[in-house]
Amino acid sequence: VNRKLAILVVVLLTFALGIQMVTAQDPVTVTVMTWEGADTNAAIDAALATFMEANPSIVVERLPSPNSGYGERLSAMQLAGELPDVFWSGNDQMFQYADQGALYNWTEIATADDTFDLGDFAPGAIANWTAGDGGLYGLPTLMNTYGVWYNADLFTAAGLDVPAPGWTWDAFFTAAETLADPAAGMFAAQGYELVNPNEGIFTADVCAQNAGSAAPFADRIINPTTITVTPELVSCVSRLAALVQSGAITPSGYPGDGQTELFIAGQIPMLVFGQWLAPSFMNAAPAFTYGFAPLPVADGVEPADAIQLYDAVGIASPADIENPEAVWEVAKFLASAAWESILLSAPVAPPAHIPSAQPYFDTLSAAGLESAAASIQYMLEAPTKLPIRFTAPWASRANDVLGANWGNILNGTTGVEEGLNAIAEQVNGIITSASS
Amino acid sequence: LAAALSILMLLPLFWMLSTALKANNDIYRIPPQFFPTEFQFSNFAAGIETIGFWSLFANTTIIAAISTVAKVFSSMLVGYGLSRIRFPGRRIWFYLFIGSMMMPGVVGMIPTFQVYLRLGWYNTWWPLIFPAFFGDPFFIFLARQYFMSVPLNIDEAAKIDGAGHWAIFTQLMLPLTRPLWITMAIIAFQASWNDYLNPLIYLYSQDKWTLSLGMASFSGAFAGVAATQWNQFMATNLLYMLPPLIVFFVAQRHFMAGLGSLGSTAREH
Repeated sequence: VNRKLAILVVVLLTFALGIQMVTAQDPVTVTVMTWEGADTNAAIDAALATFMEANPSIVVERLPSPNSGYGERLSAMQLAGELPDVFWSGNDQMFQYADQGALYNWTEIATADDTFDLGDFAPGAIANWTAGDGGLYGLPTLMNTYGVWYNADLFTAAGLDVPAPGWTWDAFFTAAETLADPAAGMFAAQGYELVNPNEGIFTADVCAQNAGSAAPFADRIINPTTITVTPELVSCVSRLAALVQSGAITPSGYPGDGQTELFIAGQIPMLVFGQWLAPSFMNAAPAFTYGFAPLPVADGVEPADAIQLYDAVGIASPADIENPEAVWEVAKFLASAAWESILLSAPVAPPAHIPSAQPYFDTLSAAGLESAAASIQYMLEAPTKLPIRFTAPWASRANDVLGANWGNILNGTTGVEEGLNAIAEQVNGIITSASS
Repeated sequence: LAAALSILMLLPLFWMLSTALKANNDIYRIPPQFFPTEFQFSNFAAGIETIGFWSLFANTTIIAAISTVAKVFSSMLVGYGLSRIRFPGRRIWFYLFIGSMMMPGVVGMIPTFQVYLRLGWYNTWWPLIFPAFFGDPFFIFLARQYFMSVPLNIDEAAKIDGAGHWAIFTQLMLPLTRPLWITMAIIAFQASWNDYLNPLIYLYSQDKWTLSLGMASFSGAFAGVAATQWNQFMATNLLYMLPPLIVFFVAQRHFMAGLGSLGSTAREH
């Protein structure tokens, strides 16, 4: 009887161990949701296939989502407890979900991971994906940079230096005065990022900060607590307003649509926009020499001290993920090496992870856009960055204030100092009421 | 003048067709060209393949067909009851239906989402179909007004012949009100076919998606910046808009009659 019992125990143990071994070998499934279109998703799938080949214990399943209504879809999934393990997120979305305690805090795993250095990200990127409690609730993936697309032939013909990293605001304003032909209805600059209500004042603040302003317009990129108007900001906005009023720079509210096409047609010398226009220009192949320069600095500012704008998107994970280690591996990949292949087909934006950005720069250079590659790298690595817009729960109310005032300041209906002070007073009031 | 206006109205459609046949470089050409330099018919095949058009088409057809029939039939039934059956509080019910039309749909979105979630209907087609069985306030209003313009002596004659409300509704009223319910069906089909928000929030798996979600997936946001494959989008959009167009053209005679008859004043019984 004892022998039979022993055999039975051995058989049962073997069976149980077998089940455990099979279970241990079962791959872990990690779900990922993006807001990308079909082409980009195909490139992401190809990158994830290489990841799965290198990590056979992890299966990555990509969930599709249209871009339109992405926020609503995410909210519905959160209510249903069906958030994917990794999802594309805006900086503001990440903070909104982190505030609700809905996101996984990667701090511990990221700190313990010797294979992944958070210091490899562009200056400001990780800091702005870190919540007020010090928790790392997501990782930045791509960053936008804001600068000036220029028609080099028009600059050369006018005897002006072609813009390049380190060029000055004086040079920008002089070029605007020189290249404009208001009589012929030609603006020197389509100043979208300078004149649109939500972002213009922040772009103008780059001018003020590089000129040695004592305080930034908004004291923090995420959830700013104070709005300050300095004499340098007043001076920069005054020069901008004068050029808008003289017809050298497009007025506030001037439609951004179609300006890309006008630039391609050689009818706009300068386009103050983001680096994401590069693929459109590469496709269109304008019949003139063109390039992309960073936002200017003040005279005497060394490149290493240049102040530029910050704008990033990234990824986050829900607080209740079942396999944090596996999810971290996928998140790490999607925040770094994945972009080395994804961006080759559409070099739209640089990865925030600097070591993964080289193929992006190489692609731009190979297409003859060496100036864009150099400028984007310069802006990406700028040590100090300013917000491009309000990122806070009260942002829409503050944007209403900007919308009501910015255009009037630029077109001269309101005095510059008076208008800027009115903005500061009203937005500070909104911040105070939101925090009380 | 009529011909010029017609051409003006049809221009967006022609432009859509032109974009559907263009290569990527042609779309952004300055100045814009109406005719493609090279006809790229492959956009149709590529667009269909990119979003898995036919399975989404089947899903959308099933959802739209069921919800159209359910919404029209239930609204007609309620409209008949409100106009033909005397019961206490029928005016209050009618005003409640009318009042609910004034409430923005988004107000009820979160509570109804919670209800369907608790019923276990998240990621199923039920939230897209089920509400249709409870009528539509606007359709109920139309039905009630239309029924009130039908003389009561028709009902009375039928009742003398022994007909009950069901027989009167199905054998007399439905044939008499054909322009009305065909008009409702066209509107309901189009609304269900083009519904974007409900499939977006309720359908998690792609195999359950509708065409509106599939069409939207042509547009992405790379680094937060919109990016759309316009030629494939326009090519597929031509197919996407065909079913509502076919439904409209097949039933347009009744649709016109339905719209016209809605202008007649209803009598209060």
